[in-house]
Amino acid sequence: MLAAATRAPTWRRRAPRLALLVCALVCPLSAPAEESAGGRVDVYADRDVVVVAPSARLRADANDAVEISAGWMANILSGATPLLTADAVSSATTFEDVRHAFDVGLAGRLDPLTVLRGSARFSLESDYFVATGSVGVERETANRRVVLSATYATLFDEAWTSTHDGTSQGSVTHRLDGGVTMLLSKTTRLRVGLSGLVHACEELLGCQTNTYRYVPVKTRAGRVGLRETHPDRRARLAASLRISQALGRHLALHGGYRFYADTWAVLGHTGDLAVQTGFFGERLMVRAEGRVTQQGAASFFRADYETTDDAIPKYRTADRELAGLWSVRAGGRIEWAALALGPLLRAAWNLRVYHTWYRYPAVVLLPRRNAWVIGGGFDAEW
Amino acid sequence: MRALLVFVVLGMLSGCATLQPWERGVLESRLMGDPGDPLAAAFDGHVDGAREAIAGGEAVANDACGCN
Repeated sequence: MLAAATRAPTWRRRAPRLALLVCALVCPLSAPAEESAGGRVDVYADRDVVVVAPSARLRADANDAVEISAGWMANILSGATPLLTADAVSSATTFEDVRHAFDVGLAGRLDPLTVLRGSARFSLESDYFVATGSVGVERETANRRVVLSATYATLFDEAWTSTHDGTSQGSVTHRLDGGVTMLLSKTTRLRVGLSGLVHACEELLGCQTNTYRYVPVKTRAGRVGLRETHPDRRARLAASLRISQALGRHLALHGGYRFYADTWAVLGHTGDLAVQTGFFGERLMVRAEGRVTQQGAASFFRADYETTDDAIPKYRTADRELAGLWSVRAGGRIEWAALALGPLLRAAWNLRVYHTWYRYPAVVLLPRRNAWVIGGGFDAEW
Repeated sequence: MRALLVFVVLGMLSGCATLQPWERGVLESRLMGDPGDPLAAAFDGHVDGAREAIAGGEAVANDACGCN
């Protein structure tokens, strides 16, 4: 008893020292550097389309309270869009296009617990332009165990045809995101998110209509191809739950669920799970992940339009994006980091690959799409 | 939805307990961090936004027409 009584205070004295020693080993690896930069190239490929996407980013501290960031991404597209006619998949329409997107961001710390953020983003391609502005705030509370965040964004976009035949479509989107991140224990983090979007579009074609797409309609006069039209308002809501659980010091599980609903009667469920493990003081990170999505069709989606009284539906689409679908994704990522490499505090290289199986049960002529994404990148902190 | 709300409130209440800085080493580690870098996340958001109508709840990433 006496020995136990004298041992306990010793461990109490040692525990904080051990904790500080653990932190000294771990924290320098995870603390953000004052400046960082990164670049990568991703390639998306399915049977019809190949997209090569080089990108780069830069982040720097202007002073103790202000951080600036900038980024660029290009999408170099080539391939052929399968043309869905009345009763067959016709010869595809080939295309090539390049999209450039630029963004700048500013973050300022109002006090030790509050950060304000603002960003602007521009994206341009031969038949599409979009500008986005956002402001947000993050606030730590409850002994810094809870982070509350809110972001508002406005997006203006304009789409037209590359042949400049006079067809164009513009829209304004308002978006509000709210989030709560909670540290439930020393090894568990939970995030709950809620997003609301409202699209207000010009009435000509309706929200998010593809300016190239026509819908095959069978009428009494025969089969005709009519331009796709959507409602000019769309409100969307998404709620998500994400949990990360460390299992020891070398293994963590990340899982999430997301519910989606909108005023076009599209309902969706997405679940994902990832296993991440680290070796050599987190210099080598390996991640395996999977994702499953189920989506219901929009109320006005039809795989095949047919009317016998010549009453053409006001809203019509045969777009697979608005069809009922499910998808399964599986893949992995590997990263190797080097510390104190010349002037760099940390330099890391990563590779990833994943495959996605898309299935569209209602679209008989094009019921599936299988896609690969392969990418690699470099990150540096100094 | 009600269960989710209860879960959030309980989680926030549990936040009243103290978690000392030296107890956050695992939470702040890369092991518990985001799956990839923001550039990869932006590209994935673009891919999903062009392929699924239900994408777009995580970030304003679908900044292309999704024509293809």
